[in-house]
Formats: sequence, C-alpha cells, structure tokens
Amino acid sequence: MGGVPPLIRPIRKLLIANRGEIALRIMRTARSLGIATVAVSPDADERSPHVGAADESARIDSYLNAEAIVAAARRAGADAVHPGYGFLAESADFAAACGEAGLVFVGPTPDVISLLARKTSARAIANQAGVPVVPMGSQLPMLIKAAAGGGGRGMRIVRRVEDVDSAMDSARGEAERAFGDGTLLMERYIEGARHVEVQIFGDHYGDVIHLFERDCSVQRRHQKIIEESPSPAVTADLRARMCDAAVTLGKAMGYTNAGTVEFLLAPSGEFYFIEVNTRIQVEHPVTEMITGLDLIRLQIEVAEGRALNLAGVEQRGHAIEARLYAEQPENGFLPSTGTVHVWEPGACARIDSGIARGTEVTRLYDPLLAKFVAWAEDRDTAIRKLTYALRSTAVGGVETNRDFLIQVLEHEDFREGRAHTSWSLDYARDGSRDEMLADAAADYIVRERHTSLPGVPAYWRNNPARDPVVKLEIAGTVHECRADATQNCSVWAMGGAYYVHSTAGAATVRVVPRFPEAAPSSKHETANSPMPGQVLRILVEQGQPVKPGDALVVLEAMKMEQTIRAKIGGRVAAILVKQGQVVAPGQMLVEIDSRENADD
Amino acid sequence: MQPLRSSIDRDSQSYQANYAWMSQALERLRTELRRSTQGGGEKYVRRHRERGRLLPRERVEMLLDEGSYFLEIAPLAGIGMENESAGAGVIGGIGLVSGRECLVIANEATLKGGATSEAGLWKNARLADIAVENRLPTILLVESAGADLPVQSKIFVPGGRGFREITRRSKLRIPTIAVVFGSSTAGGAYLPGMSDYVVMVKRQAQVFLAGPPLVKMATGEISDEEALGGAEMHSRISGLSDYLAEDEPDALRIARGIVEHLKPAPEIAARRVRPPEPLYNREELLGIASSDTRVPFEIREVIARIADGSRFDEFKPEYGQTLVTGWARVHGFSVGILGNNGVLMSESSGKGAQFIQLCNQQDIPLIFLQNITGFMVGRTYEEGGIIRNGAKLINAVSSSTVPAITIMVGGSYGAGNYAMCGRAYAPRFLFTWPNHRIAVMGAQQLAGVMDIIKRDALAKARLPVEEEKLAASRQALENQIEKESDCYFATARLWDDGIIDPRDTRAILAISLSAACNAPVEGTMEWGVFRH
Repeated sequence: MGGVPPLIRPIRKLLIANRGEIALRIMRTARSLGIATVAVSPDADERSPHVGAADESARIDSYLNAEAIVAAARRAGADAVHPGYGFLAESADFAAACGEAGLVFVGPTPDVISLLARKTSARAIANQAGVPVVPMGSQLPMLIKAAAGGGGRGMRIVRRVEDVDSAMDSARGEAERAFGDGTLLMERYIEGARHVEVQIFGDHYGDVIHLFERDCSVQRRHQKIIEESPSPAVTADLRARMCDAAVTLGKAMGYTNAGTVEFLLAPSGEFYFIEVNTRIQVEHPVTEMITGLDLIRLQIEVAEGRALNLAGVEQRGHAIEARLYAEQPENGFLPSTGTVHVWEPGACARIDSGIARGTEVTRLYDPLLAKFVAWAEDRDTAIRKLTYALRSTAVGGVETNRDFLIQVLEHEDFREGRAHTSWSLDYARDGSRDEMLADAAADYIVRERHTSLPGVPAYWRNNPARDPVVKLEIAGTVHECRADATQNCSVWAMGGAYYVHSTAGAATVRVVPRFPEAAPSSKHETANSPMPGQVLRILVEQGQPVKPGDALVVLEAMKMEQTIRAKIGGRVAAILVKQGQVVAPGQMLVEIDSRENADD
Repeated sequence: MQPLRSSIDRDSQSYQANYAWMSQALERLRTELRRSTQGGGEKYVRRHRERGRLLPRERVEMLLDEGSYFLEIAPLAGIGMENESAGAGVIGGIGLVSGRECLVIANEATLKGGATSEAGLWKNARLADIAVENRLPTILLVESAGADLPVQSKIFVPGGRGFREITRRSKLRIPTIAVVFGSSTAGGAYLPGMSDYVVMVKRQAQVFLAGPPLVKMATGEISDEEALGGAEMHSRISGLSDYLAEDEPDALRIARGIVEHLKPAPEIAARRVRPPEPLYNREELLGIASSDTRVPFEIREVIARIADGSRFDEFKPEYGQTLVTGWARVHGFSVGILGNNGVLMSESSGKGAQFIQLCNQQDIPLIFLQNITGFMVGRTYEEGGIIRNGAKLINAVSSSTVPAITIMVGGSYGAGNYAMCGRAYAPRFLFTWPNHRIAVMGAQQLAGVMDIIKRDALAKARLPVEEEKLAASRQALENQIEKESDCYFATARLWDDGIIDPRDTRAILAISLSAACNAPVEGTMEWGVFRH
C-alpha cells in the first residue's frame, strides 16, 4: 500500500456531503483557499444554514445516498468531495464511487477505510505493528461492542455473569438496527480508563505524522461531550510512546489524510488500541487550537497531492471543546427537537455552529448544535473561558445540555483531571434556579401585557393588595411567580413560549392557562329528568360501564320520547327509577360513578 | 399646542417641606389601604380559605383580564366610622373583563360574612351610579349574609334601591351578571333575582328567601340548605341560576364568557395609541402640592405633569387669571381643564362658564382641578356681582352634560366646591389628594364667625362675656371642624371616590375617561337662564 504519489491536482470546486456545523466549517476553509463549494440537502433540510452558506447547492434524497451525491457532484462540476464526519464519511464504497467518477475523495483510500472499518481487522493490524490492544475474551468486567460499530451504539458494560446474555441480546439488536451487522466483540473492560486519541495525518509520499493527543474521557451514553488537549493524564514520556504507536500504525498501512487513533488509557499508565477513525473528527478544533493548524486545509492539501511539511509543530497551551447538544440531560439525554428561536452565541471561545435563528432541529439528524472551543496558556484558564462562553450563550426553542456542560466544567473531578469514561454527573434541574428564571420571565410577561390603555402600566392598581402572580411551567413543574425585574436575565418570546437565559442557567417557560379546559370535575353525576314524564325504558343495568353520550333512560313526556344520556363516563352506580314510573322535573334517574373509570 | 414650561425650584424650602409632608401622608395612605385589603382579619381569612374558597380579592383578580388595571372606588369608605371598616365590606372598581371595561363588585365575605353596613350601602349606591352613568356592564361577586342585622334600621328601607337599580340598568341595556359564591339569602336573594345573568357555584351557593330554621319556624317543614337553595337545585329545578359552575374558577370563567358575547363598547381611538408622557416628572407633584391649604400653588405645574407631552392650549390666559382654563390631551383623550389659581372672582367665574359651554359645544370632557378657598368676599366684590357671576359658573357646571372628572388637589371650601364640580354636581368621578381639606369654610374662620355671633347674642341679651368659656368653646369648635375637614373624614362618607397618590393622577384620569366613554359623550347647548 502507500500508493504512487499522484500529480498535484488543485481542487477548484468542492462538494460537501454533509450538513450542520461540519459542512459550514469545511466551507469556511474552502472559501479561504478560493475553492467554490457545493452543498447538498434533501428537500426537508433545504433551509438549513449550510445550504445558504455554500456557493451552490444540489438536492439529494438522503445524505446517505452515495450515488445521488456523486451524481450531484458531477452535475455541479465539482472536482472533489469532502464527506465530513458521520453519514458516508467512513464508507469505503462511497470513497471508491467518488474515485470512479473522477472525483477526489478528501480522506483515506477506500482500501484503508474498509480495512479499518471492521474492528477485528483493525486489531490484527495493531497486533502486527506491535501496538497493544485490549485483551479479548469473556473475563469480567467485560465490554461488548458491535464489530461494525461506533458512537457508543451496541456497546454494553457487563459486570455480572447473569447479565451477559441479556447484554449480548440487546447489544446485538442495537447493532443490527444501527449498522445492519449484529457481529459483536467482547473485550476486557478496564475500570477507570480514559479515552485518549492521537490525531495523525498521512500524505501520498509515505509521510505519516501525529498532531498530539486529545483526551475525550468525559462522555455520556458512550458519546464524547468534552475533549481537550493536552490530556491531564498524559506525561511527556507517555505522550511520546502513544504518538509513536499511532504513527507506527499509520505508517504500517500507508495511511493518507486525517485519521484518529483511539486508545484506552488505563489508570496504570498502560494504553490499548481501540480503533482508527478514518475521517475528520468532531473534536478536531482542539488540535487546531494547540497546533495553530487548519486541519481541513491540511486534508484538502493532502487530497490535492501536496506533501505534508509539518516539521516543528508544537503543542502549545491548552484547548478544550464542549459539545452543545439538543438533548435533555435531566431525561436520560434524550434528544430534543424544536425550532431554534434564540441563538445568541457567547464570547470568549471559538464557536463552530450549524444553527441559526429559525433552524429546525429534528430527529432525522445528529443533535449536535455547536462546538465551543477555548484556548489558553493553561488548563484552568481554558476551562474558565469555555465556561464563560457557555454561560454567555443563549439558546432557546430546543432544550440543550448547556447547563449540564457548565456543571461538568465546574466539577471538582473534572477540574482536577480525574474524570474518566465512566465518570458521570448526577444532573437534575435546579429548582431554585428555575424559580429565579421563572420570576424573570414573569416580569417580562407582566410588562408585555398591556391593555386597551397603552399608557397605563399592566396590573395598575390604586389599592394594590398583592403582586400579580403568574403561573409558569418549566420542564413540567409549575412555578407561582411574582414579577422580579432584578434578575439578570434575557427573555425572548416566541410562539407562545418564553426563552429565559441567564449566566446561571436557561429555561423554556410556558404560561399555565388560568382557566384550564372545563371538564366536569365531579366524580359522581346523576342523570336527571328534564321535565315531568314517564319512564318508558331503562337501557342500562347497575354496574354497567358507560361512556359520555350513552343512552341511559327513555322517557315519554309531552307525547314525545326523550333519551337521557350520560354526561360523564363511568359505571352505573344506581338506577333510581322503575319502568312505568312517573317522574318529576329534576328527579334523579340514574347515578353514575366515574371513580371506577380506571378499571376500564 | 405649546408645552408648558415648569419653573419649580426643587431646592426651595417650600418644595422640600411639601415633599416631606406628602411623603408621610402617602405612607399613611398606603398603610390604611393595606389594612383595607385584609378583610375581616387573619382568623376569618384563614377560616374562609380552609373552606376551600377564594378570597374576594382573589376572585376579582381572577375575573379580570391578565394585566388589566383595576381602579378601585372608595377603598376607604367607612374608615374611622362606628360599626364600619375601611372599605365598608365591599370591593368595587373598574377593570377589564374579556377586554371590556366592567364594574366589578365583590362582597368582602370574611368581614361579618359579607353583611352590608350603612357605609356599604352608600358605597353600593355610588357604584350603581357609576354603572349607569358610564354604561358599564356590572359583575357582582356575591357572598353576603345580607343586612348587618344590628343596624338594619339604617339599611333596610334605603337598601331596596339597589335591587331596583339592577333592573333599571337592565332596561337601559346595561347588563348585570351575578356570580354567587356563597350565601345570598333573604333580601340578598334578589341580587341574583334581579340580575340578567346568574352563575352559581356548586356546593357553595345558597340562595333562598328563608333558611332551614326560619322555614321550620314558619311552616314546620324540615329542609337542608342544599335542597332549599343550592346551586344544583337552582340550576336544574328553580331556574334562578343560568349556569352551574363546578367551582369558583369555573364560575369566573363562565362570567368572562358571558362578557365576551355582550355588545362591544364604543370604539375610542384614543385608547389604542401610546400617548406621549408629560415632559416633567410626576414625582414632583409631591413637592408642588401645598400641604397647607392657605398657601396657594401654581396649577399649571400640575397640568404640566398630567397632560400628554405637557401640552396645554390655554383659553383666555390674560383674563380672570384666578381660574386657568384650556385644552389638553390626557392619554390621548381630548379634555378641557379648569384649574384654580386663587380665589374665584367675577371675571374668572364668567370665563369658566364660557369655557364649559365651549367644551359642551364640542363634546369635550372636563377635568376640574379643585383647590379653592371660595368666592371672593367683601363689599367691592358683592357690588361687582360676585354672586351673579359665580352663579353663571354654577349654572354651567349644573347643566353641562359632558363627562366631568374632579380632582381635589388642595382645599375645597364654600361655594367654590360647587362651582368647581364638587360631589353634589355629579362629576363622573371625584378623587382627592391626601392634602385635600373640605368644609363650608376654614375651621379657624368658622370658629371665629361663631365667636362673633355668640358675642353679639350676649351683647343683645346684655349678658357678661365669659372670655375663658368662650375661648374654650371656640377652640373645641375649631378642633371639631378641623377634624371633619380631613380627607379621611370625607372619603369615609363617600364624598369622593377615593384618596389617591398624586403621582397616579394621570393613570386615574385615563381610566376614568376611558370608563366615561362607554356612554356617549354628548355636550349640551341647553342651559338654565344665566344671570347677566
């Protein structure tokens, strides 16, 4: 392998087979190099920011349709395709299809991609190159993962023998659903291990270099949320050994373009190879900020056939990235959806975002909204800057993990570099903070309410008995609020909701209607006679379940038949009249009890 | 229209003294008002809540639109009087319900079970006047034990008028909605009885002519309250109730729904635009208003703090200068303002009469800023026809048909009270500042006059003058009059619609004008014979 050095083929027009922040990130570099950009999107995604930011755009039915993307690139006259991450980024077939169509694929060769895509063959290469791999086998604790997997899907940690079977079953199911391949691997699970990866780059002249490590130990649901470089757990000696191992591995397979060699770093200081990601990583800005390089630019240059010329790159200062996701930390990090009504990026950090005001966040795509990356000479300052950036950012319309990220960054374990991959934060909404946010929203709402006399303040009273109380709901909890203008909050109103932002936290606030939908609150109802008459027929029996509207009794009154119907659902508790009986107006006929309703 | 130019000196001793005095007076006002909102006190409030009921003020708040203003009328009625509490057991005022200006009246159920006192009767009568004069739909939030029995002699006979008024309003197409939250018995049963719409709260409303004990006494029939006059009985059987509410919020929701389908109020353009604020700070009114009614102050300084953009188009500025007249806008409403700048003279009276006629000709509402010691006295002025000329002003005020709103910004003495549209001249609304004093004349003068008369009588009867006794009785009389001239004495007796913070004057004028505009604003060109 290694390949014959091709001629330098300058790229003039680049199709970006991706969306969101990474598509915008790639366009930024492309534009700085004078390369025209082509965006792709399905119809439903055509209003996403990446489409507007590109020089031109093409419609495809799906970001996963390789054929359509290649066709779009040809139609647009593009000479290269950048896959970004996710979607088709690690599809050897796609890379091959690009090559066959005469398009430069910005990434490794199809062969390398397919070799590394399977965890089993990747382990074999590592073994051959003398890079330690995590021992396989069924020794407990054990980690089960999908052979074709990534992103934490199909991954299970098993600590007890009796859990093995069920974990295998569920992991296999998840792997099949996610990757169409239920093959599983079993590895020894290393307690307290950190996730440390090394960025490598290879060119078409056989040169493979490393750009130091990234520590991605802080995760939730096996997905990274905070990444930094240097790793607080890596010494200079360890760094040299890990980076050497990564370069050795890269060289062994003639690696080209950007790649990431992932390692588990055990508390003992031993490290084990996990896998190679054959694409640009989400967290690549961390490396950019400590090296001063533009990795997308390097990717394009390598793809054009230029040689890497990176002697003397240093790891300078400290960079940390936090990923802002549309998700609900208090609800198992379930993805949240909605329209971004408020997006006010904060200061003090590089913010790579894929959203704008009005962006729809759907379940169709990855819920990553933006990446915040801070750099400073030292780790503490970088953490402080990143925290500041997150605190000063307002997002409204979709629930995010912003406040969760802030709590992680401020946690002692993280500050002291102790967070490992199974470290987690007990996160719950802070009730008193929510109350404060609700009070601020109440102030906004109260001021917003004006009446037919616009010059008279809302809630004006010449005899004020008490402050107006506004009932507001945050995440299912109702707060009784008094307008408080002293809170340092910003409030945006949109589509019936209020988005409150403060440096201490954020919330989506909704007004609880004063008069809830009128529903008969009674548990007990009687059907009464509306006028004097005679009972013709009784249509129900005691204990019979009835729905609202069901006929109960037929009366004859004024020579007409009249059907008496149930107003509430429940069971017939008692029949108070007999057939043929003469009844007075208002007389109770049938008693219905809804308390047994739950049985039905 | 030119803006007025203010020339007050905030550092002056008089400004500082007035400000300090007024601040203290407002502190007392706030305290009294706060007390007036506490119903029958902690124990009864707790008992009421324990029965799962909303407090009367909570009912009012829940009935009103969110964000609506509420101009409470006579919140301190009955204050300081025997057998009375501040507010007289009634909460009444103007606010928005379903976007419509309504008069809301609620019984203070935690105070003597919401029973009506004598001052409560006066207050109800005043509220009924407001409803009819301004054509405001009226919502009664009923929970009352009826007449305060120990004082029934003061209430029973005149109290009948209230029921008559409901039906007379109905005839004039001014609807009344009664929401019954609790007891509304005997005579009180005619509140729902006479109303156009009746809502009753399940398991709470009790409406009957006689309760179970009286029924047993009268006919021997044994009955319980729910069967005799419960909400379900009245909604299903007697038909007295039009709507059966599940609970209190449901009842208020229903009442709001009823208002929604009423014929809309007349459209008024002034209500929709945000008006320009006055150029000068309303806070300064506290230092402008004189704490001593004998010390005059420039009324234009007040106008500059209530008129839109401080703009005031003065009429006859060079003539009869003790009465300032002119046009302005207040919250967008075009108004004619008459303000005292000294004692009323022949010229100023004539000018005022002419101005009132001009406003009537153009259907412009009037605002009286009353700070008057009376008409000028003395031989020269009597010869100059001060009575004849003053009568012109009183004539014009009496016959005027455009809405008038009177603000007592200082003293109100003698016939000046009449000429400047005092209570007897039926302004639509009348509010007073805390520095307001009201009497036929100043206490000192009154006691002095009585002293002179007594001395004359003694002289006629050739009796000796006992100086000490005379001085003591003079002092006692002066003290009594002084006490009776106080604004709390006045407001307790419904001589006004409430004591207000001067800084609220502009908002109160806006709400008053807006309420007044629910009835057609039509001036008259018909006047009694002017004595020329």
